[in-house]
Amino acid sequence: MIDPEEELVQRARQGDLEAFNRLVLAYQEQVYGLAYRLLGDADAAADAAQEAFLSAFQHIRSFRKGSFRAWLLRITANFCYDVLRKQRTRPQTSLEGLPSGVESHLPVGEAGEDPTLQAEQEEVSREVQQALMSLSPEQRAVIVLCDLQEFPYDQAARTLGISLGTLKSRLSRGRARLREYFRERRELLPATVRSIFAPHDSDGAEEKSDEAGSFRP
Amino acid sequence: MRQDRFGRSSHPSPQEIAALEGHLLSPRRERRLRRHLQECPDCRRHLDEVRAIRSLLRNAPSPPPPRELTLSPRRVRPGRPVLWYPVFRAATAVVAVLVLFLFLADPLGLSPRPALATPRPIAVKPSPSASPSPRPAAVEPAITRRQPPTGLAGTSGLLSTPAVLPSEAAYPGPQPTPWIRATVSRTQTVVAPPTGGGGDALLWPLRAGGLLLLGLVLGLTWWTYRRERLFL
Repeated sequence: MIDPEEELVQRARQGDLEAFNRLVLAYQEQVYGLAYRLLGDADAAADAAQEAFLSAFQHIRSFRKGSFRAWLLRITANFCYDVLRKQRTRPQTSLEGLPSGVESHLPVGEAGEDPTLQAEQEEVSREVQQALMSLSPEQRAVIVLCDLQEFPYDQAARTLGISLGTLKSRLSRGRARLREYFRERRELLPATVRSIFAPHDSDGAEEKSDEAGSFRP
Repeated sequence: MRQDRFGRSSHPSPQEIAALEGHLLSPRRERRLRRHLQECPDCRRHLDEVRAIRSLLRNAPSPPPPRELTLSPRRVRPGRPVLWYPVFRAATAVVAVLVLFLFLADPLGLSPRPALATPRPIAVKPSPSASPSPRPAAVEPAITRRQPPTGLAGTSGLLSTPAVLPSEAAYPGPQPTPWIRATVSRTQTVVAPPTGGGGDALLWPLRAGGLLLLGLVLGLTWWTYRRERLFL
């Protein structure tokens, strides 16, 4: 028995736009979510997601086997990464200024009917986005692909056109930077996020790692 | 905080602790780090925070798209888009071979070019007043030239050809060709003009142009690879 998704992909390969649009409807939230996390701007993310879908439809014959979702997300990430690199080359808006403009568009009902819970989830989502925007575009792309979307490392490296070593290095630096970011702002964070950073008995231990040269067990 | 004998902190760096998640370190390094974590509550707490942040990122809800992202038939151009990367890759290979030929053809003697003009014996009519001599009167002094192979002649524009004179003094008569500047000494250096190497004037611009073209197609290949690598 043929998988419905596979059937839609086969029809799209033959140029059936309607079949492809059914795939778009199935994956648009994930594709847009990835673009939004990478770009931090709702309109730019929607444009990038649509461009990624268009590119995927035009090149769908080159999709052979494997997960269609992963292929689609790789195209999106690749496209957004190009946008980020162009922004870096010709910055039109300060990347530092972006976090303050981060909007939240969580749908009503995402957190059930509880308005308090929903508000808190919105806040968490906003904080996560702000934290991501505090990273360099290169680190952000790696963190979003590996830690949010859980891409295998080799696929993420191939998507971004970097070596595995570079990917690992950016990933560990990005994680360390995120931790630093959340620690610095722990007083302002929603309760659920703040609970991660319970105050230490020896808060000075915090700075230990900054001084740490090389680890000598 | 513990310190090593050099007074440095013995804690791993934040990057190293963050790299423990997802096995980003080498197995040996990871084993050492984990041994350290067993003894160090601060670093354990640090790792717990990294884990919690990863979990937070994964579970944070993403916003829905502000509009439907389906494609309209107007946006989709008919036909299959061309992938340019294979085209430029082939072009790079062709240009590279051409450039290689331009650089290697000359030393290998493959490039067709006119040979360096060989010195002609100058025939001087015997004057009636001159004393008769059994030897032919006017033959250019025996200059022994080492001629380069025909294919190599004139490749460098300035070709030094040592010539040995039979004696230091004797170099009578006019030079066989006006363009040869000769230094008369024990060893004569003859500087050949670019007449025999007329191809050089063409070859160097060709080489430079070839290199430029190679750079251009390489750049285009890299650029198309970046754009199309997911579809190859």
